[in-house]
Amino acid sequence: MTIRIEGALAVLLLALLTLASCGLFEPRNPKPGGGTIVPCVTPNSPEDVITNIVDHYASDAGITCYTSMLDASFVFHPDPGDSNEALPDTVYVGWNRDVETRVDQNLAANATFHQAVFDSEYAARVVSADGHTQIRFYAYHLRIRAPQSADTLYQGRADLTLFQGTDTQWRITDWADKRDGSGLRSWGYLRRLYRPAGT
Amino acid sequence: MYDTSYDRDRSTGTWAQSLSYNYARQRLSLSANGNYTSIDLILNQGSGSESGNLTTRGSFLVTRRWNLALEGTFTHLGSRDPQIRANDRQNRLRLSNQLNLVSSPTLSLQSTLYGEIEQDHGLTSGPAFRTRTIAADTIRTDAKRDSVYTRGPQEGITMGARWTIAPWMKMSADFSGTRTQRKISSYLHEFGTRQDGVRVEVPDTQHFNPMDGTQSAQSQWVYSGKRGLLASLNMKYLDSDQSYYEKDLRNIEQLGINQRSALGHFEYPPIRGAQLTIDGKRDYTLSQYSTRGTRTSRVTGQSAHSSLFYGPSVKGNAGAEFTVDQRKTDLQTIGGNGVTITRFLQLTGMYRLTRRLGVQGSGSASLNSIQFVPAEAKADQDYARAALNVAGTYTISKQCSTTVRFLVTRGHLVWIDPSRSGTNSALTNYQVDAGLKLGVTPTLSINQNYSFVASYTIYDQLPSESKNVLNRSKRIDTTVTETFFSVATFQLTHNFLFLDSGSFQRRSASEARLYNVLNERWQQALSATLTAKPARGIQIYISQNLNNTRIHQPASDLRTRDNQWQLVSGASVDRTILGSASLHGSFQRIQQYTERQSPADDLRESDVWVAGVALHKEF
Repeated sequence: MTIRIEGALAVLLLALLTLASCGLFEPRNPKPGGGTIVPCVTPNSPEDVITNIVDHYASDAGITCYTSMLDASFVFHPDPGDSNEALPDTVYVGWNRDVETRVDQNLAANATFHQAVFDSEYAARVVSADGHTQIRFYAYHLRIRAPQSADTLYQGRADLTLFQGTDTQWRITDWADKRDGSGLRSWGYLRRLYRPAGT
Repeated sequence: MYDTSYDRDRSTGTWAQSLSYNYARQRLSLSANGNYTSIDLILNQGSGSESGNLTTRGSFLVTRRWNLALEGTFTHLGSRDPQIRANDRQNRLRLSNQLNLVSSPTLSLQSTLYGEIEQDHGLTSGPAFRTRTIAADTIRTDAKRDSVYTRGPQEGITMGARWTIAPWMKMSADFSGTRTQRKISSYLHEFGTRQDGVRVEVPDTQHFNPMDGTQSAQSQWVYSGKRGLLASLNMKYLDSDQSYYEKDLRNIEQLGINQRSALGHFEYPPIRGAQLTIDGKRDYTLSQYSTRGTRTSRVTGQSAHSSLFYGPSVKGNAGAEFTVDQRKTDLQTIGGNGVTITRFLQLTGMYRLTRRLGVQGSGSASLNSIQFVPAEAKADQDYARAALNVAGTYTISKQCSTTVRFLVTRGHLVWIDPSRSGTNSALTNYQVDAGLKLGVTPTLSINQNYSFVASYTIYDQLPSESKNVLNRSKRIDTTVTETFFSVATFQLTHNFLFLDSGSFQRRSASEARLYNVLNERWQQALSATLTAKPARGIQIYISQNLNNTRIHQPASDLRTRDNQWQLVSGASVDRTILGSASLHGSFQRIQQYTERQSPADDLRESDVWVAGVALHKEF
């Protein structure tokens, strides 16, 4: 027995509409009220992405904004020293956008004070020939009071690869964290303290 | 076989080597595999890492069903920066004894017993910032040497069985178990200066004797029925206890993992050209950390996936898939306990109307709902997304074709708690893409892609109306390629992007929303590249690029312009040398600067070399 392809398409479309109409894909209604809004800059340039990281990282109201700066292909690479120091725990393996989101949420819920600063660019930017990819080399410091760590000042370098997608907005695809030789803990060290197992 | 390569880019120099050797005679086989990678972080002077692994294995077939093997593994990981050096070494020596107890066409039973000696050493030296008490004095330490030794024997057994019960039923089962008795010793030496100026050393030694073990089992049943029916059930179990020294917390960490999962699979072609597939899965994972309890978690999940595909001919096909997934996480002390529900539905179809004209379409809807426990309920959120994609392709000839695509996506993020629901918003994207491929002559071709996008971010709550944003963009990418007698290619590329953004709000509830442009941005990239192949396996190229960015802010009539020039030149070699060896090498030089807008501006010049060479040799 065979069915005409037009018929099959019509049946499948009907099934899609039926399932969609029975509320399976409807979000819940928010509770009454409505808090304050934290502006999130549309990332039309790499500078907008940096602004949003500084303003929204580890912030309870800024989780949506910070995670929207991460591309679906986002990968975080720790400093080899941090990775080595954590052994035999392989906590840094598979650090994608979902893991970064979870860690940011945990930090936001746990930190009592936070301030992220990109101090300077320690090397010239690399721009791709078509202008849609940039690598920027930042020196950063981070002040966070978070119960999981005795340290409150973190410092290092962040090599960020930013990509302008087909929607013309810029997002981070790679974040390579590096110690800066000061002996201070890096951002990557702080991150690993807030990654639960199983994520 | 030996491979070596060296790659150097802007921030990193990487040297990698690998060697493998295999020798096999009637009863004896020997093998050795090694690799070593060294990374220098050029921009972070004095920083880098090394990693290496060497595995040697010898096995001897004593009888037809009995095999003895001796395997040694050495692993090294090292990292350094101006302040901190870390080295980690692992040595393993394993003697294994494999028996093929039963081996027939319908049944095979295999068992392996092994004993292993393990030895690990981790050494870190660097600064220390701690306050320590020695005798009656308190000092602040400034340096440390932290050494951790782990050693002990491990015994293990693995068993596997494959049984063809009937032509329509197969079964397999595997079991493995290990037991490890380790001795872990930590030797921490911290150095500081007493108030009288005397340098002192503060030693701290700890010893642990943990007992670890792992048991795992899995079983699979496969049923092959008539008319393409296939059903299977796969069950897995893992119970593991592993201990290691947690350097940060100066204590032994015991990680207990308990995992169980069951996976069912069913597939059946109900009619010719169709395939129905149904998968169901339940899984449970408990990870318990004795010292760093914040990493403890328990995840219970269940998911189902079904798909139906119908493709009776090359003229068209249609498919649908539906997935539901539910995961419950608890026992996490740093938050994130709750249930995550995911539902996803997708419909795809393709139909060829004529030999030249074809249409494709797809539609999808999904919901991701995160429902935390009451104590964390303020982080509750739902994200609903829907997408519709319709495309048509018209092919005039091999050299000339055009594609048009219309895409609509809508994502709606809803925070449930009032403390965050002010940011609830829907992002709707409308996108039209068109592509043109034109072969003007056999050597000259033109590719052009157009894209127009409008993105509306509309906040749910009326007080947030002023935050509504509209972003629009137009993008045109053009590539012209001319090939000269297959020895050289000239390519001219132009990328044009215009985007504007601004507020999109209504002045009163009765009025329609109006677009107020706040920012306009033009980005253009012009690139001319000449590639030549002067000899077989050799390619050289040179490329001149100009990236131009202009920004206009209509409210203040502020205009900025940024021109960046880039010259890229390079060559690559891909050749066979010395008979059986091959050499691949490439280098690239990227010079760039940004035009000054005022005489005092920095040119932001950079001159970067990127090079790599790889040698492969078989003996």
